[in-house]
Amino acid sequence: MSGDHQDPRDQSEPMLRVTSLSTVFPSPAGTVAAVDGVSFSLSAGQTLGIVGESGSGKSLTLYSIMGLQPDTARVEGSILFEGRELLGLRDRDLNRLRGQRIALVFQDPMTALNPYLTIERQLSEVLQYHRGVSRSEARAGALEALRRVHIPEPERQLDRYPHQLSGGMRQRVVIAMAMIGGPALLLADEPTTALDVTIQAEILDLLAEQRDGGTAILLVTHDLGVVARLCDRVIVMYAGRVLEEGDTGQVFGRPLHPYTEALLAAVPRLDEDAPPAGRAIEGQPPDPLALPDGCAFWPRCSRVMPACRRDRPDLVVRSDGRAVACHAVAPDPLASEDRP
Amino acid sequence: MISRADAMISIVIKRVAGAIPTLFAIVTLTFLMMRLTPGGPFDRGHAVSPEVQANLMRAYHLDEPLTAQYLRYLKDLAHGDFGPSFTNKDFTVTQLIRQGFPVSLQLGLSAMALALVIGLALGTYGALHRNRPSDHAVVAFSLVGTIVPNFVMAPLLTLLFGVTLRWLPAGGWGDGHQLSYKILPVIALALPRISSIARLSRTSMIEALQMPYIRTARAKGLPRRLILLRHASRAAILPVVSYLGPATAGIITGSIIIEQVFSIPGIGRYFVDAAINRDYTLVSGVVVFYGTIIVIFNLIVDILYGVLDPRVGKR
Amino acid sequence: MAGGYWRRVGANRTAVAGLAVLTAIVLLALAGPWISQHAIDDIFWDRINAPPDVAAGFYFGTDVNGRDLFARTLEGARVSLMVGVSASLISLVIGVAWGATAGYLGGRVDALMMRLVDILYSLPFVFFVILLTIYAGRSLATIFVTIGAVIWLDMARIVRGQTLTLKHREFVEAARSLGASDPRILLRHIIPNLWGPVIISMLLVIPDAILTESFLSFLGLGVQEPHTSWGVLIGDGAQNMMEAPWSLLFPGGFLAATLLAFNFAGDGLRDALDHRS
Repeated sequence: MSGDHQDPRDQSEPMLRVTSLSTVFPSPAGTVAAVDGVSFSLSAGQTLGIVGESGSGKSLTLYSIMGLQPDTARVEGSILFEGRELLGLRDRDLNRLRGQRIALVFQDPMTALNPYLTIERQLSEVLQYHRGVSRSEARAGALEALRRVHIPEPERQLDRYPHQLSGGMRQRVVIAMAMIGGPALLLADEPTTALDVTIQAEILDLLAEQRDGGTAILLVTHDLGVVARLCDRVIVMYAGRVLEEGDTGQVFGRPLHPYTEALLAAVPRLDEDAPPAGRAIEGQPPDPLALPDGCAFWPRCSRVMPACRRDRPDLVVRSDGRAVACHAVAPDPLASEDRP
Repeated sequence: MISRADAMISIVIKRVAGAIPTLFAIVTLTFLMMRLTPGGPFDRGHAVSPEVQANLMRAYHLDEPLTAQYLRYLKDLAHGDFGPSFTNKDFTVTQLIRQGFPVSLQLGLSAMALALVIGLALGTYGALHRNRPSDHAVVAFSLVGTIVPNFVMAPLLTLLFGVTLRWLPAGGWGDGHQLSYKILPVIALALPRISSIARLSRTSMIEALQMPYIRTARAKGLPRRLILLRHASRAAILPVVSYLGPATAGIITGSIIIEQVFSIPGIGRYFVDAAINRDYTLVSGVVVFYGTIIVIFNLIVDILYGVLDPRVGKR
Repeated sequence: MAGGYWRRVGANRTAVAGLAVLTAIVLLALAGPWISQHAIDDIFWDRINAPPDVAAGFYFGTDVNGRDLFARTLEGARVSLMVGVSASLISLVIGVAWGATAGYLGGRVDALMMRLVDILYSLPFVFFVILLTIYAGRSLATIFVTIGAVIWLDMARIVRGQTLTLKHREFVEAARSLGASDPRILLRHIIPNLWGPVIISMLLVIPDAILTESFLSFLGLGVQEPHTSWGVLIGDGAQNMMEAPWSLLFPGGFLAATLLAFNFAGDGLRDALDHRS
């Protein structure tokens, strides 16, 4: 706690602090918040998972951090990265961070790579543009980046085109491309969804290696298994809002929110004390243009109460560091013993 | 794993093999039309004695069996010999084509270059300013330019710039080195192609900019200019490259009109005069000549496409 | 549903505008002889290249020979539209027969037939039209036959595609299992169900035919005096535009408006039909 800094908060300030992030689209019936007041923070070497069904706003949260939301969207709130506000930054300044300090791994390696350019070109342009290195230095850098993601015969892959590589190889290239600038923060959007199960495991190991190297990872996925393997903390999103947040072990071991419970129950499990078959959550995710009053989840909730249909529950932080937004969850038993 | 060079060679071989039937179709169709139509070239409008008729038939080998005539025709063509002109007795068809071709070639290539530069610029501009007034202007321009035919547009341009405003000569080719004579015909010939290329490249650029790999490039922190030039341009230009084949045919057809409207001494003028005067050999010669050029150009375009798109010809 | 189809066409404003302009032009062309104040070949020596004069009945002025341009433009409309429709009917017959046969038989026959279409497609067909008109003479009939004979390729492609999808529908399978012969299935079950896409492609082929006819006539290789067409009038007008620009502007404007209207109507109907299937 005692340091050279005058303000002790400086030292505890995380690498990324997202506060009340909202991504809003115009629509004929007023604006629609596809991401609605999301807050979280992430420190160096940490891994945070965001889970939710499709349409929950989890990917858009990721893109909004990088300023890659669709042109029609407006982003509000605050995104502090290494103490710097990203919202409102000009493209030119944002480009100094993109690919260098913050990098992105996309869901589908098939389409994330440019089919008309060689692997070398797509890797080395990051170094050439940001660092101004020569063509041959950039090639050496690209080669090194491919080695770091354990691509066999990296020299040969450099001159090939994406369509000549397998899906798993392509995803390694995408990760190599993200890591080549040595980013402090890696954002990953469903990095394993488009891959075979065996290759999924390899890619997860590769991401774990990057984390162990000190890179913070923000991972978006609908696959709870991926989160369980890789993430220290997890956020559960529904209809653009955070319903639950906490340490992965706690959240998955003892979920507080009925939605988290339902998500976990829907996962097919191999261990024996669990139900024999996973069951899907009943009902459909809500239409963002016609969200119900109160809690967005109540029409599908097993523990719905009158208040749920009326008031939207706030995300309440509990003494154990967990947070949940639900009327049905008992008030924090330790609240009285703790500071607010 | 086949290397890229090998793949390219096999593409070239395949395309050349594909072009041969088309060439044969052109030559054969032309030959059949020339020889199988009832009457034959000397019947109409000429009153000649049977002996003269027979002599003419012999002189043009029309008395031989059809297959022999066909083989002779192929052999002559292979030597670049299109035979004598029926109406210009002093010239062979080859000489007339050789005379007109440089002018037509200059006109056509200039129009094609102009169409590519302006068309791509307009299309890209429209795509980058999508749904704004300037984009609507590009779309409206290209719609009108594609639909209003050459033979309406060319006289209108002459009327406006040559006659009313008197900025440019209304016709002629000058001595062949004066730029002022070339501006109007080249623009008039290029206009429909500018419109088509603008339309095509606008659509393909809009599509290209929506590809996920463009987002990858943005995530890499590359500037807009580089994303456009390196990442989006390739996918955006491929449909335009495919269009170059039909565009060549369009420019050749259009040049007939333009040469007529502006009195330019190119192949197109010989062709129209020959058609009006029923100069069978000259008309057929020009059809085969232009057909061959179109086939060759299509071949080049196919190969160019293979060079630009690494996925073409993959195993 | 047909009702839904026409409602969607109605919702497409450009298609409606296109169809309205087309209807107006067709009606004008048909009414030409009655609404023109002068005959198409009356020569007014005192009105050579005279500008439009509504009071005297010369709504579009006169041409270099002192003939009423209004009457001649509408006569040109009649001829151009007739050539367009006749040529596309010929292309319809060839294209439907060719495309339906290729699509229905499939396999090698299909590959061969469509390869031929591809080859013909890459040829500069206007040249062959010119070549044909030289040999066959320049009557109106040869013009639309030759144009029809070269523009059936689009029709054949569209019809083939549609036939491929129809081929495996229940009613065709049913007819086959009942022992109907191939020609009978083609004529009774396939071709009658092709009308939708065929009508739309007619809207694309007719302007093509009109354009080709105008191209030939402009060069003096198409419709001959005493007949006239938009192409002939535009050709004459272009020669004469310094003295009488209206002799170029009216027929040129009519041709451009017709082509635009066909384009809008065709696109609109195609969108509406795509929506349906």
